[in-house]
Amino acid sequence: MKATAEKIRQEMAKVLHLNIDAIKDEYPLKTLVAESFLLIELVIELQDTFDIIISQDELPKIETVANLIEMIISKSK
Amino acid sequence: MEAMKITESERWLLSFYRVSEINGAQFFGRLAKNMKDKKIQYDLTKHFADESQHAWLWTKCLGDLNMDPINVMESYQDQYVAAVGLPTNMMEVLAITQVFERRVIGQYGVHRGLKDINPYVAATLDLIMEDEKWHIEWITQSLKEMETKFTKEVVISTLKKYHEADQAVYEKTLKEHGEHLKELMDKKAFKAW
Repeated sequence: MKATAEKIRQEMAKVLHLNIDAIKDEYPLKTLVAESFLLIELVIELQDTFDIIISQDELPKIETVANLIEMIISKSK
Repeated sequence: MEAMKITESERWLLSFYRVSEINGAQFFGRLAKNMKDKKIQYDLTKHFADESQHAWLWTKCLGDLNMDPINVMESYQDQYVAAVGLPTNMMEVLAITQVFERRVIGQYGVHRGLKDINPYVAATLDLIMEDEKWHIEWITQSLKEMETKFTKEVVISTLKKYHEADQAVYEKTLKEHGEHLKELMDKKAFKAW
């Protein structure tokens, strides 16, 4: 599936059981996903959905929701 | 089977095994729920079921010995995450799991080799170790297949990174929980771990 910001937010909302409006660009990912197992679940689900690879070394670069969306879109091209 | 007593240190160790199995089950269960790769989902679900069963077997073993589990707050997995960070993709998850499973088999094997091992503990270890062999097999095979997507070099370097971390985690465990492990170490049982 080709990644767009809207589709990524939809997937995030599904995994995190949140309303899509609750997923705001400026939110720190660690605040939105405080529990580490859930963060792994989310990142793996997004990789599966958009057929991309995110490695452990890249995770520290993702501080906010916007960072995550940008990374997925850039890798999905 | 006669319920021979075990020491408080061994009770702590069995409780630590139990919590680590529970954490493993919870982790694999969550990942298995929505996995898109159906072959991995099949094996991961079996792995999740095994870890749950192992947690029950340790709980039952302690019960058979008329003991309750000790509340152990930190599992071996927690120490791994603290040492190497969170795995981020399925290849990294399977690589860290393979290293972890090898450590577990080694530890269970050493424990099983004790001369005066309690028969309930021995029987539980025998049951669990049989499953652990299959865990290594399916993960090794899956990692091999993932070389196409991730490249062989990346899979090998990831395993190497986690092997190095594993040694550090083991040394930290010995340092922090040495008093519980001392009995086994005194019997020179831990030299191969």
